[in-house]
Amino acid sequence: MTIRIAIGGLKKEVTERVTKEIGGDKVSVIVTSDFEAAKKIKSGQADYYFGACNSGGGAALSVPIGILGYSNCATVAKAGGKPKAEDIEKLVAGGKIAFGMAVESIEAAVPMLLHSLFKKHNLE
Amino acid sequence: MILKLIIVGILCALTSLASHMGRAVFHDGIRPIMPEYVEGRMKRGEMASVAFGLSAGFVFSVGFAFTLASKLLNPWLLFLPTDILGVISPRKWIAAVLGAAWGVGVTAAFSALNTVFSLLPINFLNSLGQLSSPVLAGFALFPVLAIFYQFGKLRGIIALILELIVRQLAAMNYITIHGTPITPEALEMFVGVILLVAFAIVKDLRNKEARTDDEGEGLFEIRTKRIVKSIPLMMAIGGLVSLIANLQYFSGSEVDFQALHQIYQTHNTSQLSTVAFADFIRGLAFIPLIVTTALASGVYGIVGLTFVYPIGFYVAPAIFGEGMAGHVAAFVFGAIWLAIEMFVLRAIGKGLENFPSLREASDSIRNAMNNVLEYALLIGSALAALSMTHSPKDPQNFFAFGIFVALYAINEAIGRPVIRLAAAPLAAIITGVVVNIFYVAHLM
Repeated sequence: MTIRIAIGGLKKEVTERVTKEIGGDKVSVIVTSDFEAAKKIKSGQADYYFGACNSGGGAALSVPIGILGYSNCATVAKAGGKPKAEDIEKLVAGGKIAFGMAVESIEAAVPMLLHSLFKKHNLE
Repeated sequence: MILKLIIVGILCALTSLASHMGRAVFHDGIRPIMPEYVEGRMKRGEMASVAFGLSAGFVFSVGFAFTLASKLLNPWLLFLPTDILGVISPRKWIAAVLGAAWGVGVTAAFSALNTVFSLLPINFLNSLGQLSSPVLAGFALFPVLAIFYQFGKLRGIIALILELIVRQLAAMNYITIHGTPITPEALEMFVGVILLVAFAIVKDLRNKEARTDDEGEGLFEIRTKRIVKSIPLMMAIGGLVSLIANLQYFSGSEVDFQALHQIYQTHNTSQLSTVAFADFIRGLAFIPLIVTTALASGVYGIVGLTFVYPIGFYVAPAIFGEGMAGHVAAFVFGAIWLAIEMFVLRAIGKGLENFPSLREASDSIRNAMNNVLEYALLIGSALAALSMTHSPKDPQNFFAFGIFVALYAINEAIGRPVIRLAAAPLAAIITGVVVNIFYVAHLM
């Protein structure tokens, strides 16, 4: 199977590049707006949401939280902090489907996220 | 000064109250979580820790740096903390008191800090003026960058060439409004934004059938009532925000803080319309985000769609002058404008549903704006640091510049505890302090 990831938020081009680089043929990527992305997940056209904004929890996640519910969303990298692989793995294993991160942490957080997702879906 | 403390105190008391009552918050990320708390699914303590986690970094980086660099209060400094204080408070009156205390305390502290800085032997506050010089010129090209992001190279290059030609035609006074010259940057931005919106609408009209279901529609219905109930409180807040902008105490955005500082220092108001226009465009770019989250959560933005800033510092004085009439007008216009925004919120939300590319354009604009501002602030701050010790008299002295570069690089090296947008101005300010310490210690 491939994991379908919808990308929204700021610096989508960076998120897209890193996701494709790390994900290879294990992922398919849809680049869109936060609103469309969240709707796609809700209607089953995508599996996960990655989005970035300045704080990591603001613009990146606010619309997905509204549409998918707070309990399905998590900030994996805040502004001013480094993402931690163990924490991300817990969030992924715990069933979160929409992930927000600070724009400055995209390149660190996306690979961690993908590896956790591959582990969860037995793709590694 | 007393007047300033009173007005800011009242404003912060009200914003803290708005947060406590779940009516409005400033942070876009806290808004969608608020219903969890207001409707009782999340405990006060948990909500407070979420709010603190999302905001603290911004208060200390953006809030502090922008206010130090411009001597103007800003919403990150005032309203992110009142978001948190409102949530923490178990009672309404406690929320109001804590909010007021924050407003008064932080205003007094920064005014004291500015006095201390101006007494230092090497006055680096004048150097910080350099910070703003490249910002607007660079910023004016953000629509082009947004078009590159969203519509690719070909349309990007066309937009770039068009913008530059129009800019030069305005600069050489070939394009005027009934003989009055137009600021080239304003026209440049205007043309760029029109192109971006046109590309987006054309794209949406072409793939009309791509509309998905009406998921958002039902979502919006649920909590709109709370928005309407909040209007009186929000009118008071909108009026006061507009008033403190009008009184030249306040800069609302990362776009306007350096330019407003420069204008208030030199009393040269010719650029004011360009700054107001830049703020207006910035506001447009945030509409989809704020409107959707407000409709979905029933919690509004504490400054609404941010148009109350340019209404306060530009529209009111342009119509009623800079005296008392202007101040009163700023308050009244701000209050009325916020009420209008809240009445038409549903209509805007519905309209946006039909044009998904416009929503995407607002992402591209915010993205482009951020990138352009990062570069402009970095270069502006570097120029400011350079001018602290480097002068025609002392052409080989790059001491301050060296410190600045090191500070900026250290922040990058340790994983950017200060976000990039604020890192450069903050590095310039610390450089100024370090230079003074060396001077006092006879090391310079």
